[in-house]
Amino acid sequence: MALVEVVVAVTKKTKNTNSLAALTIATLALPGISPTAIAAEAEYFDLDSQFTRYSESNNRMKIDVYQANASIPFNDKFKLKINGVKDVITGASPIYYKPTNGQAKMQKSGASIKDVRDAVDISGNYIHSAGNVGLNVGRSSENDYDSTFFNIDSLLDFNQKRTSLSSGYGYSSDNVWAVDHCPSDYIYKGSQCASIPILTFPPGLIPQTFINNGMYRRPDVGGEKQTHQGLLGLTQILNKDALIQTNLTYTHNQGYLSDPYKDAYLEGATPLCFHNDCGTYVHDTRPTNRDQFATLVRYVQHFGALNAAAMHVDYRFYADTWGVDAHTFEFTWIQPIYAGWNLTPRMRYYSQGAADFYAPYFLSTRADGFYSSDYRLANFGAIGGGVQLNKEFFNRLNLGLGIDFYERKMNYGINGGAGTAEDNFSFSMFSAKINFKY
Amino acid sequence: MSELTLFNYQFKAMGSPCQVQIYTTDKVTSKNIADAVIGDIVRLEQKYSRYNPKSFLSEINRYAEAGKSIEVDPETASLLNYAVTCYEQSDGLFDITSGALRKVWKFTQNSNTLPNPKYIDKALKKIGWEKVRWANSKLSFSRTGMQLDFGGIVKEYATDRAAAMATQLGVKHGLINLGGDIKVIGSHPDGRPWQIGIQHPQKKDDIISAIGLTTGGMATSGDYERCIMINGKRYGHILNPITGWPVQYFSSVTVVSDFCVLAGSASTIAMLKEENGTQWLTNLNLAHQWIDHEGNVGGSISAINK
Repeated sequence: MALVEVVVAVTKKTKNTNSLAALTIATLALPGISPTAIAAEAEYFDLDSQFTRYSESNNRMKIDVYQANASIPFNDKFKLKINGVKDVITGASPIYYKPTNGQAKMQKSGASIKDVRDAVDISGNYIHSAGNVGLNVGRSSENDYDSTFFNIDSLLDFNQKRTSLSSGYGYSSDNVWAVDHCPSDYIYKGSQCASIPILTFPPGLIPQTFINNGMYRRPDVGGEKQTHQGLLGLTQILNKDALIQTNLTYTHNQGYLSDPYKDAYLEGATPLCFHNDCGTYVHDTRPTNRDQFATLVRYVQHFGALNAAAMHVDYRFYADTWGVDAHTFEFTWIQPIYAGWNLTPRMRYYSQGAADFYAPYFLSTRADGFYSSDYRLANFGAIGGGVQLNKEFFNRLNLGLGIDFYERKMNYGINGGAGTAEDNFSFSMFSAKINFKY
Repeated sequence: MSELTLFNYQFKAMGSPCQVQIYTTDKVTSKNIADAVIGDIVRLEQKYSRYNPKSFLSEINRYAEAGKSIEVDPETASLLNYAVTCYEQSDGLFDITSGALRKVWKFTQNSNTLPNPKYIDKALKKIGWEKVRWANSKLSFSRTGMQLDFGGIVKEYATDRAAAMATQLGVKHGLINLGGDIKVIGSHPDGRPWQIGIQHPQKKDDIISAIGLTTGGMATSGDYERCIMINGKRYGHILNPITGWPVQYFSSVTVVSDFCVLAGSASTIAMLKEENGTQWLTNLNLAHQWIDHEGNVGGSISAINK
């Protein structure tokens, strides 16, 4: 109801019947007259720390994430933010799938993965009279991946802050490779782990490709890749309680876009042996170019009468030149309860169609030479949900606890394409968060 | 949970008696909150006072007087944007450039003559928002002798901000009253609404009606507080920027809205619209009450409260 009125008010400003809508919108643009606006306006030195544990079912991956960031306001126009993340990944990940009695049978990574990622980034944000501009640069490294990136973004307010236009560009240059274990006491030599006891090497003559703990960098997979990303977004305040947001993202990747750890079963291929595990498989091989398009529509509605609750409804559509397309529906409800307690339940549904060159296993060669059995390129659907509980103390300290569940199933998907029930899995995620401002 | 007590802080700001009434658990907390809230009101008074030569508004007016351009801060910019909306919605009647008329009309006790129409016409040439260029936080005055006046906006804006600030500091029940511009924060702790009386425009100690508020703001515009009587005719201080003469129809208009600033500008626009004001208020669809010079009372509030 109000939505229609406001749309009219914006186009025919001087009509009497729409005065209330026009005046209300102008009122809401005044700084600090609703309590939340004051909160956004105050500039604090802000410290944030978060711990998240993600664990998949069937002893697949487990990831622990420690994150801390500090936000330092220099004045009311300029703010600097430093963010650090440490991830520890353990567990096993699917490598490829063997056809067994007509069904795909997953072959997990033999040795368990243990990977540590360290990332740091710095961003600066400058507020000017018509909006703000930001620059973010960072670096992330782990034992099989490194990335250097930057992003610039800009937000412009116009139409008396009823409308804002955001735009951004990001670039990243990455290097990806695979590390693997040699059997204990053996080291990498030539193209395979040689059966030479490590003790036979005189000190100081251990080959360069030997990393540590018997890990070596595989020479047969990996490479460089570049990513360019552009974003254009529009936010429109509809009335004092509602807004709508849309954005469009375009991403171009080029370079080595395959997964260096994954292989695909190919009937009739020359058998390859690795760690005494022989099979007719080929390395995960994908095109060296990918163009991705995504669009998001978000509607936010506040309910003053329900103790200032808010509802977010999102829809996202994604498509890329590899033939993957996806729909995401998400619903979030933010409910302030009492005395600084907030409860935020959310629900999500995702459906994806498979990439053109995806199959759980391949019984014949493909003309284009691309093969992938990566479960992330398969046809599937997923249902997720979670709830977060927050409590604010003295307007300064915020503590949060969250739990999320996710279930992926091949037959939850509506998009179609190849897939396998072997990749059905679920995960749970717990998070704890502390935020302090002073 | 400890008991809540009502603390009432009275002070003078923006030329009016003011009150901050808040329920807190103890006096120290209430004092800290009141200090912060009153601090912001004083800040706005110092920034936007027409009378204080050190205010930012006085600085703007020196540029306006000289017909020059000045860059303004984001807060002033948003108030100007708000004023533009009022100008558009009132078909040019709510005009923050009408200051030049105040030099011609003096509403003091001993004024007993009407201004010379020649001077009114002269003042009108220096009035009109359309003569101001306003873009990208820059105000440019196309002619000399212009004046801006945030009357009808800043006090009401300060009221809304004070309430938001108190809420932000933990107040769940309270009332802010800056010279009749009111914003309430919830009800009383026991759920009773705040009873707010609307003063009778002709009989100073009489309340014409009372309204109970548990949320939102309320503002009254009237010409009864400052007016002059010449040859038995009242001339109120609310001036029509198009004719240059005081408006005649209503003696007071009260509007209730979520925000005090909206209530304040709506009541002023209604006063300026004179006989068309009743229809405009009805179309606006906000609770309101009007009293005309003949003593007739109307509007949706009286219908509820009688």
